[in-house]
Amino acid sequence: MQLLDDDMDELFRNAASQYPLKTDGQDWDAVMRKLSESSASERKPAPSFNRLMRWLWRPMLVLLVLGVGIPSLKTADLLLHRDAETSATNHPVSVNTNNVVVPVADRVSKTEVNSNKDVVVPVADKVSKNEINGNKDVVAPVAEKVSKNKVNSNEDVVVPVAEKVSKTGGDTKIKKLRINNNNIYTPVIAANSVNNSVVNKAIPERTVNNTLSGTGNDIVPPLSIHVLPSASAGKWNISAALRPAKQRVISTSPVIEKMNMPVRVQKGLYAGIVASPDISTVKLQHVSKVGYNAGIVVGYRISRHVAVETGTLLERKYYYSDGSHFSTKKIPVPSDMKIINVDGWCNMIEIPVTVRYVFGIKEKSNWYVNGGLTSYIMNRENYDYKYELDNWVDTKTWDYRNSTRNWFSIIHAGVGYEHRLGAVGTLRVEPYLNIPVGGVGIGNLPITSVGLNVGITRPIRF
Amino acid sequence: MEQLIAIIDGCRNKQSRCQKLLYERYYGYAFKIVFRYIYRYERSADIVNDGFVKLFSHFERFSYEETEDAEKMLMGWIRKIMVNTAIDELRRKNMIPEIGGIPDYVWEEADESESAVQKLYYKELIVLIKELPPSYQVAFNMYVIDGFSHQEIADKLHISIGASKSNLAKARAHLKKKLSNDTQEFDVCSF
Repeated sequence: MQLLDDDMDELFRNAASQYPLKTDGQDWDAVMRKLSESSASERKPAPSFNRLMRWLWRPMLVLLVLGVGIPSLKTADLLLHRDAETSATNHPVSVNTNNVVVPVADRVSKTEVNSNKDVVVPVADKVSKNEINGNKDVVAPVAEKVSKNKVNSNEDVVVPVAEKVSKTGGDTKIKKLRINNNNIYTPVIAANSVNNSVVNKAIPERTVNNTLSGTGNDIVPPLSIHVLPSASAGKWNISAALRPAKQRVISTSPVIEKMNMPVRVQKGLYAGIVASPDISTVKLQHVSKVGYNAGIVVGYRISRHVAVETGTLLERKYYYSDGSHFSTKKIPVPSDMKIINVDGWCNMIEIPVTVRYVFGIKEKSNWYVNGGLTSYIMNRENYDYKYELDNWVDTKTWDYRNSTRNWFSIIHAGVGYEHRLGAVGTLRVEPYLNIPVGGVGIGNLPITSVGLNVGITRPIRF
Repeated sequence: MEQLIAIIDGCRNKQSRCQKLLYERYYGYAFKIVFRYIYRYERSADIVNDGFVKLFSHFERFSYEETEDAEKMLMGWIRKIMVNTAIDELRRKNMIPEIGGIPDYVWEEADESESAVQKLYYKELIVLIKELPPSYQVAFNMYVIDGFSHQEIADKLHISIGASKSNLAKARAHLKKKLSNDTQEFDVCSF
């Protein structure tokens, strides 16, 4: 039957939407649990922030003591406190139709509004330099456009006021300020004086009116404007002052979340193939030739850091030894025969049983140390003997099959690096050292081996 | 529709009640998407829950222009999140094929109506997809059923566009072959 691709695609699309899967296993509690976990992790401040705060709290405290107010503005609840806050100073209110909170300088006697669009900024009327004497600047925002329209009403607008601006000890300048954005708060006056007697009254934090935030129900964090007069020009750095007023964006980027998450480790069974060159020596005598081994490994990752591993490796070793290290107990030789040296090789099966400790776990790689015991099962040993018998030096080759089995008599130690290659598996490179506890093979030779295991492993799932 | 809009608004405000309503409403839909990608039924359920957690965590990103389109947009968004979550899982497991059959308890019990026969056939088709090698299966699911482009597939799976096309072609060839075999078997049985 010839199926056209489109027909087949349509068939599978229908199947995908209508296939009879049982979907009654909803677990809302699990979702809630995960949601609360994720929101808790989002709320947790970054460690660097904590560090920063540790260093910043002292200067902040000093600034507070010096009387630098850090006013915070919000709108909605502000209305409720309006009378309480304004009555003390009897300041007039700057009003427009946009529900914008604006500060008014002390001794402002008249307030006017320019338009509906522009945010109304308080006007400091009848304030002149002549009235104020002193050295320090006290700055109050003043509206640029004045006297175009009358104040509309008192509705929904509250003006926080900087109180107790000193006029006795400081030279107070009134700066003009115009803000042309409905969603911008004007700063509260930050007053300063030589003798620290001028202190702004910090305005309590309140919830910003919805009309300001622009979104229906979003809760906007309290505005905290810290405006200090410039020492040189005496100008307001309004952009800098208003920067913190922006809504705090909680980073929910999946990438960032992923970066913060610990690397996930796959536990369970795995298997792979390894191969290695083998350099063997008896008591650090010279190395005759480089051997090799290859085989399979099977492991089980018990936990994030620990795994156990075993395997079967077919191995060929080449080694050389003086006759002094070669035991003749297991071979029938004449009693007066003296072995000068042996040059041998063997084919054997190596069965390591090791425990791995994995560390430095990253998304793509990790390191590990590996230790355990290894068994050697000798299949074949071949020795070229150089011996002395009856004052005559001769050589002879002997071959032994299935001669010895050395169960768990070799200590294996290694350190390795693993790199995940995606679908291919995990590449490992592991230099290792095999040290015999006793003698190995028919001659009980203490054969020490080093090598470099290179292999690929993959998880096994049933 | 009004109810859905209210649910969406509630989810934006992170209201648990609305989130639960949305979860209950679209759980089955999401599960059917995820189960096409994830071989194990129980694991699919976990992935669906993970997907909903992502969805609720980032619900402020969801928007729609027309009220009539809200549900369509929402379902599309859910589909995208579920597919992404499932692919993340597959990539984490290195796209290793899984073995073992799909147990019977995962399927709805069929009645004797005509649509039940149709559903059984659909079930077999889904099993055919799930039996494809993971890379073919993902390419077929994403391109044919979930409407992703080859570029998007390549980006998500970190493969080339050519590999995506190749995987899709091989998936189609596999499925065609299976379908032909099934049809022949059916023909033989019917005689």
